[in-house]
This record gives sequence, C-alpha cells and structure tokens, in this order.
Amino acid sequence: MDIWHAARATWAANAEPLLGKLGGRPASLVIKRRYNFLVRPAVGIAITGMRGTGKSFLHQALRQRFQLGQPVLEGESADYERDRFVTATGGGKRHVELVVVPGQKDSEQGRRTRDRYFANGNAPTGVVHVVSWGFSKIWDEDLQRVAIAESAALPATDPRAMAHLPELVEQARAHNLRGELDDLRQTRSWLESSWESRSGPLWLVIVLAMPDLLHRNLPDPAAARAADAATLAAVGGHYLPSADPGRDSEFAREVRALVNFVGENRFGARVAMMPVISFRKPFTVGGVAIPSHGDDELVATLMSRFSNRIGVFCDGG
Amino acid sequence: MADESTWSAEPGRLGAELEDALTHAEHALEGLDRAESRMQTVRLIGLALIVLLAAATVVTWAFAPGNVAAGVLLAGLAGMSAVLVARDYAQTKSTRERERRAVVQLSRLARDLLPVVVEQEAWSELRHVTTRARIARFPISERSR
Repeated sequence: MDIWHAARATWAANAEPLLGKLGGRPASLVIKRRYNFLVRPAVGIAITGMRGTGKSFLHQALRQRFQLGQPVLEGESADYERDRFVTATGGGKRHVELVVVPGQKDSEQGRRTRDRYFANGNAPTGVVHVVSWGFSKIWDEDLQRVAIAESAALPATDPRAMAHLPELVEQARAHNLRGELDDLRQTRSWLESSWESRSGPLWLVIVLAMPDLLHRNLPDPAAARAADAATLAAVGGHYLPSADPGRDSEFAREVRALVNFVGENRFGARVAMMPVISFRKPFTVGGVAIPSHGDDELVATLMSRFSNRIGVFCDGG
Repeated sequence: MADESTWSAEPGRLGAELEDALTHAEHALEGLDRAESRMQTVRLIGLALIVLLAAATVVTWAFAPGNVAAGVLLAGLAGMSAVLVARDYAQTKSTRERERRAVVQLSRLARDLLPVVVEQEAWSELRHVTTRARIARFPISERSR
C-alpha cells in the first residue's frame, strides 16, 4: 500500500462532514500567543497556493482570529505574512514559525520570500498547499473580464467541469485551474531546492478551500448528496495521485513528482488532503455570485479537524 | 461563451498582446523609478534650503540685528522656496502614484495570463522563463513595499 492510497482514504473520511456526516469534532490545536524569541523554531510551516485561494484567511482562521457575526475585510495580500507562535500538542510545546507565501511568486515580494524561507539552508518542515477547485478570487475587475474572455469553459467530459454553473463562472474556473497548476509547478521548484538542502521528516497537507461552494442545491436531498459525493470524488481524483500513475491528472503528477523527488520515506504517512472553510463567503465573478452553503457547525468541525491534523503532523505523527 | 476561434484564428495574438502590456509596464516602471528618484532629490533640496536659510537668519541676526530689510528678504526667500519645493514634491508624488497604478495593473494582467498564453500558444521554455523573469521585477500590489 503506497502513501497515496492512504491519502485518498483519508480524503474520503475528511470530506464526510460535507456530506452531512459531521461525526465527532476533535479538539482544536491549542495555540498560545507566548513566544520565546530566544528559542529557534522547531517547526517551519509554509502556506502556499495561487492568488485568491484564501491563504491569509486560512492563517487567520487557524489562529482563531475570526469572530462569529463580525465582518471580515478581504483583499489581496501585498507581501508575505509571517507569524510565530507556540502550540501545545500531545508531544509537548512546539515553537512554530509560519509564513504565508504570496500567490504571485514571480514578483519582487515572491523573490524576497524565497530568499528568506526557501533558500540558504532554510526550508519548511510542513507545507499547507491551498487549492480551490477553480474558485480562487480574481481581485482585479479588468483581469476578471480578460480571464473570462480568453478562457473557454471546461468541456462537460472534463471531471473538473461543473456544468450546472453559469458559463462565465466555468470560464473563470478554467482560468483559475490553469493558474493553480502553474502555481504548483513554481511551488514544487521552490520546495525541491529547499528540501534537497535539508534532511529530516516532512509533511504536506493539501487544503481544499471553500468546499462550501461545491454543494448542489437540489430539491431532492438524496440526489443532492449523491451529486456532492461525486464532486468530492472528482476533487480527490484531481488533486491526489491515483493508484495508476498513468491516470494522474497534471496536478496530481506534479504532487507525486514532488514527493518522489525528496523521497516518500521522509513523509511517512504525513500526507493528507482536507477540506477547510476559513470563512463563509460567496464566489463572485463578472457580476455573478455563487452562494456559500454550510453552517457554523460545519465550519468549526472542518477547522478543528484541520488544526488537529497540523498538531499531529508537527509531532511527527 | 468565449470566442475560442479568436486566438486560434490569429496564432500568437494573445502572446504578442501580453508582451506589449509587459513593455508598457516596463516603461511605467522606469517612470516610477524616475519619480521616486526625483522625490528623493526634492526632499534633499528642501532640507538643504531649510538648513541654509536657518544659518543665514542666525548670521544676519547675530551681525546685523537692526537690519529689518535683510530679515524680511530672508523670510520671503524661505517662504518662496518652501512653496516651490512643496509644489514640486506634490506633483512628483502624483506622478509616482499614477505610474505605480499602471505598473501594478499591467503586470498583474501579464502575470495572471502568462500560464494561459504559454499553454495556448505552446511557448518555448526559453520564452516562458524570460517572460517570467521580466514579470518578476514588478510588485504585487500598490501597497507592496
């Protein structure tokens, strides 16, 4: 049984709350604000992903900085974001240094981030790579228009297609999915060079952000659940390598190549894919809005599972 | 529905347009650099003028305390210089903001569309890497430092 078989199995289990099976909610990772600057961080975490996937939101949600009912300001991050904190895991205290890598890696700020956190002997121990199934925010309205004009909707035969959505949303999704692959290729290049220069165990979590946008709002609940299950299976099939490498999507091929490059043994069982809702908000593009589904209970369940997993992986589990 | 035939009928159109946008962004970046350099010079000139006038005022009061005309002349010179320097600074700052907006918007378009163009027009790896290196000179947003 390979590393990917386990990852696919845990994806199915991790996605169950989205199908209405909330199950038990594990204790969230305990994060303390106290930080001793004299202690060198034992764990380095990098949050990566293309622009607009909600990396900064995920960071804020992980730090429990969102208050229920309070408005949240969203906007494009101007630079990398750095955070230092202490976690109390089963294995004791861990000093963590976290960096949110700009989605625009080919920029002046991206180059600085690479120099500081992915070069000169620096490398993250764990990576949270955020993907969105094409629902990444395109910040600039002019860019939205150009992206829609220059992208064709995914054909119905493509497993990533969501034919029930308006065509311009599908065009924006096609554009974003292409950008997601390009971003992963750049991320892979950064990680390979930084991980090559360091030894020791590593971990990788692929986070599906905004899974609340995938829900089919059908009159028949059983049909809606079946449609959601099919979508989530397609999501797992796209982002995770399959049993037969020949059937990998382009994205999954890059993920497999990254892990193979540094060696599966460095990851052990510490590769997972999880859905997380940092904050419920609709997806808007070209004047069309796709509403968010789900409730506060779902948000809290997914977040506590995610933060718990981070704690387990930081412990080397 | 996106007009797929637009680019397939004119091979290389989107790539050429992207490179045009990038060239415009580079010109705007040069303008931005010039404006920032000018602002720095104007700040230095302003500072030098203030120091010079302060020194002249002190010298005048010390050696010719009863000379009102000299005091008025110096005060007038100081005021006029301050107004000129401030006006030039404000104009250059406005130019800088304008260039910065153009730089960010054009480079954002080029950055986001690059993967589309590379795939649609089957760009060579050399052209891809060169264009990415050109884009990497630009900031992410107007708030980036």
